[in-house]
Amino acid sequence: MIAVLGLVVGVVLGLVLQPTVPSLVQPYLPIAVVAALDAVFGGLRAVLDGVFDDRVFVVSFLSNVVVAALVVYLGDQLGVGAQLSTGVVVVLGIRIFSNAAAIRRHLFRA
Amino acid sequence: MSAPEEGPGPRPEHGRHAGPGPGEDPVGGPAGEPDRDQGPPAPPSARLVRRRLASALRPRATRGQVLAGLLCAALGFALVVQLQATQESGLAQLREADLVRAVDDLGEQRQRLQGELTELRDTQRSLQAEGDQRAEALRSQQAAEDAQRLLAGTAPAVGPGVTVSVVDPDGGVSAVRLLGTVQELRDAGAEVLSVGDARVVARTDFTDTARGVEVGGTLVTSPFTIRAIGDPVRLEATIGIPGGVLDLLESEGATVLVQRRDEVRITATAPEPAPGLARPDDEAGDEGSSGDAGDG
Repeated sequence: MIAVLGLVVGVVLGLVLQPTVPSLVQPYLPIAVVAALDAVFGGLRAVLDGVFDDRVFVVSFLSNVVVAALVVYLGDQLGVGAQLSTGVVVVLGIRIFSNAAAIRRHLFRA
Repeated sequence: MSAPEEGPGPRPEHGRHAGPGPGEDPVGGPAGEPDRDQGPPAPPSARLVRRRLASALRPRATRGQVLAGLLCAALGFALVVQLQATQESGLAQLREADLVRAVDDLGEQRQRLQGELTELRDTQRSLQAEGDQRAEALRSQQAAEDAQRLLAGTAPAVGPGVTVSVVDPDGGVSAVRLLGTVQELRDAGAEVLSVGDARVVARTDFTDTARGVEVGGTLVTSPFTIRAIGDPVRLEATIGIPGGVLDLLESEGATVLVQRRDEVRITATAPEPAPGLARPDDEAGDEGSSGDAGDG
């Protein structure tokens, strides 16, 4: 409940404040958002599996975001930033899909 | 959600899921992570799922819940910000490498277009030159045609020249005298000539008849006017030479008035020459005349 509320509050804040993305985090923000989405879907699946744990969710969320940003940063330094970003997004996308599939199985039994 | 109630069938509950109450499974540690990759677990019963959802939605102000809420807020915030930034898009959103590539692309494109431009300019120039040549050819063709028409007498003519009014009540002027006059005028540079209403060209004949002189089949009766287009001063001087045209005409009893004019209009035309037997001999060229001489 609090998580849903937090999501709504965050969206509203973003819409109201209309901040510009600092150029420093510009390349990493999209990846971080995708990683966080992955964590959220994973958390939702855990809830439905009955194995949700706050601590695990927080840690996995943060580590997901940090690792994704780090990988992209490393890729940028190595000169393969674009390709590595694509790779990260693909992997995260696959996980989001599999998590969504698990959630769907729980909710719709199909 | 209205999932059908599970019957008491043999559907095996997953061991872990059958455990403690909804949502409470702190020992489920690694399973709570989003990055598990185990196969799909057997779906728990609909009631169980609903219980779990309900318990998850029940607000509990534990530290972990608040933290998760904060993280979700951050996610929503970042998501919206990123969406807006992407919508603004433009070059500002591109990476350095992409920008460099874009600049390279543009440079290449510019070079290609420049080459194309040069080519098109060349084409334009050559076409222009061709057009000029055609226009030039057309002009010279036109000039040649004009000269031909004037020579053949098929076109009316206008230009500076002289008019010679001849009043000859006694009909004393003969065809020979008239022809002589015309020849004198031609020698003086007359380009176009007419006698009375008759255009005078190379093949015009002058004939004495009972009623007077016929010029090219047209009877010329007194008074008549000889019109000549050419250098007016020279023409007048030639006519006026002692013992020349003027004197000879007057000696035959005619009264003659010579006038210089800036514009003499000759509207009389000669009939189109019928196609004759002669044609240009393109093969002979220079040798033509000598060849004939050799035959003789």
